[in-house]
Amino acid sequence: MGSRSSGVAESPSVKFLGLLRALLRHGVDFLVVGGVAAQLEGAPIVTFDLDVLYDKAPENLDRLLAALRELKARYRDPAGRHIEPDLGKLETLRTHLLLTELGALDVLTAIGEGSTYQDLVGRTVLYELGEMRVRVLELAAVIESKKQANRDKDRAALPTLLQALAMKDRLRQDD
Amino acid sequence: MSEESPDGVDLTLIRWTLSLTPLERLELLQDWVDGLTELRRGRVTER
Repeated sequence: MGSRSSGVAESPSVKFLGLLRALLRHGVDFLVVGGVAAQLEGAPIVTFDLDVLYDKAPENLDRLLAALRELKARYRDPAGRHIEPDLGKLETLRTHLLLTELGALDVLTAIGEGSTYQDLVGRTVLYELGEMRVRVLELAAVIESKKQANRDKDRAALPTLLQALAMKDRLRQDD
Repeated sequence: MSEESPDGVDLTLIRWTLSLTPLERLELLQDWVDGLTELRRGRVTER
């Protein structure tokens, strides 16, 4: 489970579809990763934020920044400072743990042991979510990233993720 | 009755989740998160 100590109690409940819609409206090239990717792939995982891996191409950084500004994104700062993302930070930092008006949004340039958008875009599934088409990291790659990250919450999720992957494989063989 | 793996994973829940469309899976997650967030905030009133 992906709970955060940095403010669920005082922050808005995350709105997954609204966050995705905002990113797509601005034409951001991104992959859904983490717990939401696992859930979309059929592994029942609870997470309180949306994790996305973004392409660092300069034009995409512009689009991402526009989306983040529309969402009134700021960093989840334990000291309570109001720090907003900017192009320099999006270009250089690996992890951006943000709070938006639609809840917690983590925008990342790499996951696991350093896998980037370019490394992983070939391991995604294109899902239709109503009017939206969203690229989602496949479950096997989510599992690899969780094993590499190896935090307590990642290890806790692994049994469910592995069972879901095994069940998906069995269903695929039966088809 | 639910079915569990030896390591305690609810296989019935996984099977059910896999039977849903991707949009339904995301809506299910949203329902869980909304409910848990309300509980954390202590806004669920006793009946």
